[in-house]
Amino acid sequence: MTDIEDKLRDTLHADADHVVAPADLPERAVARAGRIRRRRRASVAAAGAAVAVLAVVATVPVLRPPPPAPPAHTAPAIGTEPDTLHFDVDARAMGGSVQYVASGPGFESILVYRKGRRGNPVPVVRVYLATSAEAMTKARGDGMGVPAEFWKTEPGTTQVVTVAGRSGEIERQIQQPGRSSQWLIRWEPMPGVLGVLVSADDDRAAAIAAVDAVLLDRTRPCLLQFRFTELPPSWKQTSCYFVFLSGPRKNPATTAEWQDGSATLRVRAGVKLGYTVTKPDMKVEGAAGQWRQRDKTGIGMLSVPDIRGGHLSIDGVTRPITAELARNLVYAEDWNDPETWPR
Amino acid sequence: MQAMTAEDAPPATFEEYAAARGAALLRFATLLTGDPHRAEDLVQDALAKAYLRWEQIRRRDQPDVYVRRILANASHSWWRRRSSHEMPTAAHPDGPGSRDPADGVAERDIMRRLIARLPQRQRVVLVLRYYEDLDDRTIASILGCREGTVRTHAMRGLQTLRDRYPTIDGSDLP
Repeated sequence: MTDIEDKLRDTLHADADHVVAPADLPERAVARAGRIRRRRRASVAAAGAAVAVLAVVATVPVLRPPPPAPPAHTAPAIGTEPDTLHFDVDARAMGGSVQYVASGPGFESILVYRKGRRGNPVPVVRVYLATSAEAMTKARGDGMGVPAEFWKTEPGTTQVVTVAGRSGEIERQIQQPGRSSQWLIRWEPMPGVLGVLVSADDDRAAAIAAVDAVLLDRTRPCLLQFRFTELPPSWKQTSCYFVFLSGPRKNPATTAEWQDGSATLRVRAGVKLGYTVTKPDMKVEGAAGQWRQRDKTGIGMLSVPDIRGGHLSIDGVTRPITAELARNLVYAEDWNDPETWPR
Repeated sequence: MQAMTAEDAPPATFEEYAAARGAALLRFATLLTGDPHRAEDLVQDALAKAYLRWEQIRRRDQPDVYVRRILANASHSWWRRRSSHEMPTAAHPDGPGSRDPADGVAERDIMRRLIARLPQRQRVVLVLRYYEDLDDRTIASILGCREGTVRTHAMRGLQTLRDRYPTIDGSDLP
């Protein structure tokens, strides 16, 4: 080992040995994987059919209770209105709070989380309703947590069970023998609707009881902090993702209560998205924005930093559409108050 | 040379792998970019890509090799984009006034700047060899090149450091 090699090794260790990984790095990576997956799907959709999938993730410091709703429809309404879920859950009875709702073609889902020891969200119960097996697969591919395909049914645990007065099937799932497990229930909550409930707790009775906390006579809105008064021709909102956070992040300066969860339309506050707007070339609500082309297809990204404390990105769009979207964008007065969000 | 831990006992789940190797990957990325924030972003991205094809990686590939390859390539792209901008170096708490060779701070400061000025591939090779203590065969598999290429990058990188180190006092560096 030469002197220069010693100096090199010494410098590298002095620079890096103190680096500590954030405790929630695995969770963040999984969440980002979900975004990548959704972005890929949306890119395909945008390029092929010119259909926009709008999705947003937002954070609300205090979750307000959903408004009362009329009784459930007699015909399956699941997945028919992107801004409305046709069921709700009693999250408290499940042992957590709602942190994720999603609605897409033929499916709706509500995920209940509790706060972990390090303040990180820990899944408790996930409820998916869909009108077809295909839609159910889409619903469960939400990128949240370990993908469904990684879980295997533990042999000998599948049983017929009565849940909420209806016949269903329950099974214990594992990733690896001796590793973490979960209980999964399949049932038909109403005629023509498939239901899947996944309980992260290794407690069969708790999983069955959680089905009772699925409220089929309620609805839940999937509002966003903004909406488009008009969308480009042939575009329509087909789905909605809406995420609540469990609490403040480690670094208050970042106010990273926003999380994104969308491939094509994302909202964040004070969080770098891996790029920087350096030469604004358009105005959106008086704020500087920039359209950034990302590849040779002409599909790019509208980036609008610092709008009312938020950071809006619209991904997978072309420049002319960007300008049209920017003109038709309506913002909420207070991004932290769902009561002010445009309906 | 020591082998990578992840090669010895392939992790069963992605979560186990990320929890066990996250810090090491972050240190590696920090040395490649000189920017801890960017490093964290790169590691998150690399892990996310690994997560999406975890079963395949776990069966056919070595997770550490796969993730480090992504990091090396991503850092290359990042440096290329920044080529017309300032030359980033690792965060350093001491200002110019504290450059006292007696405590080694100044020496490391000079070395740090010289490392930052190396071509990206040479820098990656030196980090993998002198920080990660990987052998040339493993480095070659990470970079997707031949062992001879690794040795060439290492030799040239070291030669550059050797040539410039004694004659530089840091004042003429960016």
